[in-house]
Parts: sequence; C-alpha cells; structure tokens
Amino acid sequence: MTRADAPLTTTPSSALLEVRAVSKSFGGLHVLRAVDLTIARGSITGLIGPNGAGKSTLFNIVSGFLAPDRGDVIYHGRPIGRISVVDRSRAGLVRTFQTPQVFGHLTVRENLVAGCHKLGRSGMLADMLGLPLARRELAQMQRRAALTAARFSLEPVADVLAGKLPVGQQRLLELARAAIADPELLCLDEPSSGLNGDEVDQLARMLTQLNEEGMTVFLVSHDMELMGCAATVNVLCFGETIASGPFAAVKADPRVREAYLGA
Amino acid sequence: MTTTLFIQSLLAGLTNGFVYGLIGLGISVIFRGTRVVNAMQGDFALVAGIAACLALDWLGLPIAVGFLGGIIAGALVGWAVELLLIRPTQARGGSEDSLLLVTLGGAFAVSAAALLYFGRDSRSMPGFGGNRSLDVFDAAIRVHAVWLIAIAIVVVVALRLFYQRTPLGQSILAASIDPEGAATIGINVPRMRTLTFMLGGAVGGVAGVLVSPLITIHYEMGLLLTLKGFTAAIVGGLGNPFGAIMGGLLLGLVEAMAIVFVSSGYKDVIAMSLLILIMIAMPNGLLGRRGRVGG
Repeated sequence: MTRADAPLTTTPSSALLEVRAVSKSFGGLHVLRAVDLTIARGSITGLIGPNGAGKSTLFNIVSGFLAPDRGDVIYHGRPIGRISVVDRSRAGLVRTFQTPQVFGHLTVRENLVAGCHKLGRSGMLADMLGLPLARRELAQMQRRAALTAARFSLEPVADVLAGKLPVGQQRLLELARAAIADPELLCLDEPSSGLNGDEVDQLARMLTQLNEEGMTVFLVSHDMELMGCAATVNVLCFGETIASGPFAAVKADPRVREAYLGA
Repeated sequence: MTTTLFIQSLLAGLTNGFVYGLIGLGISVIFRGTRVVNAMQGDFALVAGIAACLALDWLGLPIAVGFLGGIIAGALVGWAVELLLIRPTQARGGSEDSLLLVTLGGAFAVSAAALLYFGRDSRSMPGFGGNRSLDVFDAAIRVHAVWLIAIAIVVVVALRLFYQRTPLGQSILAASIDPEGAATIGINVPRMRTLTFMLGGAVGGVAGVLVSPLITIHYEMGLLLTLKGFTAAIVGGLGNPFGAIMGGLLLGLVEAMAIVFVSSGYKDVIAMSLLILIMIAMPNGLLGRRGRVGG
C-alpha cells in the first residue's frame, strides 16, 4: 500500500520533526520502506504498529541510534540523519528506552543532576578545580533536581540508588531525567511497559502536563490507553505507514483494525 | 627483633603501600570511568618519572615544577593511549579482554622505548626535602616519603569529592554505567572516556614522580608497578578509589612484616599468598561488590 492510499492524513501547520521517505534494511530484510512521518510542534504524536512493523527501527533513526539507508530526518528544518545522539540531545531531542536505562549505581538525585549535564557552562577545568562558577552551577542543578524529584513524586527515594527502584519508579526517573533539561522533543519508547494501571494514569498525566507546558512528545507504545493522549497517531505495518490521524479515526480504519487490532 | 626495626619496617611498608595504592588508584579511576583494565598504569608512572627527571636534570627546573611536568606527561600519555589504542579497538568491537591485551602490549612498547631512549641504567632523582629524614620512635622516614603519603591522601580525597560533588565526575560515572543513556541526555561519552584516561594518567604521573626519588627510575619499573597496583586495586575492590589505597596499604604492610618476621626473599610469596586467601574469602575485594561498579 502506498501512502497516497491511506484514508487518514494530517498536515500540521508547524512541523518540529519530519521523517522523509526513510528506508532501512538489515541484510535482505526491508524494515522501513520510504516512511514519512510528521511531528507537529507542541503535539503529542503517537506511533503504533504490530510486532515487526519497524517501530523501533524508526524510533532509533529519529533518535540517532541508527542511520537511514535512504531519506532523511528533518528537525527544525535541518537534516539530522547523520547527526550524533549527543548533538541531537543538545539540540533538544531526547529519548527514553523500552527497558529503563537509568544510571543504576547513582542515586535518583545524582541521576537527575546528570540529566542537567548539557546545561553546564562552566567547563571541565572549572568543574575539576571546583571554581566558584562551577559550584554555583552545581547548586543550581541540585535545586533543579530537587524540584524535578518533587514533581515526579521521586522525592521520598531521592537518595536511593536508581538500580534499587522498582520498574515503575525507574521509568518515572528516566522520564524525569529526560525532561529535566527542558527538551523540545521528548521521544518515549514504550514508556508504560511494566507499569500498573495507576502508574500508567500517572504517566499519562505527566505527559499531558509536560505537553501543555510546550514540550513536544513522540510516543511509541502498544498501550492503547496511553495512546489516547496523543493528538495524532501514525500506524506502521510491515515498514510502511498505513494510517495517520486522530486516534479515534485511526482505530476505526478497517486496514488498521485488520493489521494491528486484529478485528 | 627490636621495636625500632619493627617501626622502621612499618614506615617502609606504609610508604610502599601508598605507592602501590596510588598505582591501584589510577587503575581504579580508569576502570571506573571506562570499564577498561589498564595494564599501562605503571608505565604512566615511568613516563612521568622520566619526564620529571629530564626536567630537573636537563632544564634545571625546581623540583615542584619538574614534578608537575611529570604529572602532565602522565596525563598526556593517558590521552594518547585512549585516542590511539583504546578508541580504535573499541570502534572495531574489541572486547574487554582485547583492550587488556592492547594495553599490555602498550606497556611493553613503553618499556622498550624507555630502554632505547633512556638507557639500561637506573637514575636517581631528588625528592622533597633532599635526603633529610624524620625520627619516629628512633626509626627514620625520609621527608619525601612523608610528602608522598600526604599527597596520596590528598589525591584520593580529591578524587572522592570529584566523583561525588561535581557534575563532571557524575557525568563520567554515568557515561561508564550506561553509555547509551548518557548520550541521550547530552553527555559526550568519548570525551568522558578520554578525560578518564587523562585523569588516570595524571594519577599514575603523581605516583611516578613521587616514587622515583625513593626507588630510582628504571625502564622495567612500569610493569612491576602495574602488577603491585593491580593487586592493590583488585584486593580493595576494582573501581573503588578508597579500596585501592586500602589494598595497597595491606600489600605494603604485609610485605614489610614478611621481611621482618621471615626473610626479604619470601616477601612476595607471603604477601601474594595472603592476598590469594583474601580474594578466595572475599572475591569482590575488601570493599565488596559496590567496589566493582560505577558508584
């Protein structure tokens, strides 16, 4: 199926990130075939699809962990297909992982301070020598970490090693660490995986709140409840986009139901 | 055996222990920040000792400046090793074993280069306080050895504060624990690794310039120091700075007591046998499993 056949399309007025005709193969296996996707500035954009649809590959290309074979990723109007993960992060594009990748041997507070790394301006030497500028910056980072811990309900475990936390709190910490430096685009890979119903509700509230404050969110998830907070949902099937639009409309699309929901 | 002899041996063991601890500290710093077991740590010390010796002999610089030059030389060698040996090996998917072998090869290369350019003879170097000694209960300890102990303590405390209290120290640990997660929050992981090797090289340099006035500089001293330092780091719990110093002190003191109570010929046998027993009883080192991890 070509994208032109897709019954649902949206054309956001202001795209923060665009995936343009991206293809990716591993050996002889074509995982993505000329996929297009647009993430509107200030939106929550979702990506769903059955297992093997190419979601993770696309997510890794957007976040810089994989390079596309063809096509490009445009961020702020500039191609970033070959730009490193670190440079994307410094440009405001931050991701989380399907399995929470917190710094297990650092405390929650230290994880959050590490999340402020790119906000530092004092330089390595000033930091190593503990110069006043570096000390002031550290104090600011610690204040920011304390506020973020409180906001994400992590205050009671602020001095606990992150690796000792249950999965739900690790996910929350990873989200908090990603959000602490105010990224422009927050990319979340299966953020509700392993969470119970209450934790999913809390996550959905946090995402909506971050989005209302101006953060754009790109969400890859199997969780239909969580996907409900996305303004636009893209459906990927066998490496091609088969639908894109409001979640309710996408769910009603017969091809989506056939390919993804099994109805 | 007299009390004076016992105290004399204790002081010698303490001094040697801090030297081993400093080498082990460098190994721990590098392991903690990069997960690389570095067999070149003693060679960082060798290069620093040679650089300081040349700065003092040829350029006639003051001791403190010459020592500083040696430490900078150690840091630069650390930087070069990361850039020229470690990074290319990792880029080609080299395992931890490969990296250990690469640094072992590098250690032999540095030793051979020192033999070629510095010669076969040992060279002595002046230390702090010249040859003056202090009396401790009728035993003597060189003023330089007191400096060595004091500086080693300052270095280990400074490193502890660096890792615990500075964002850079925590970013280094974060990059080591989870490179992918660190990259996504904007931490430049390769830069953190280079910085770690420079830091490890500088710590090796501190050990080199401080030990050289006590044992003379010799082209083979690098590998010998690495072996002792490696033992100290492993016994203390690889990756834990305090553990490395504790392991070094234990090794130095056991060696000294072996000399006093048995014979100098058996010091290595006795020290290593005891350490083997400790490792069997506590396989993660004196400070336990937390010593092996980043935090």
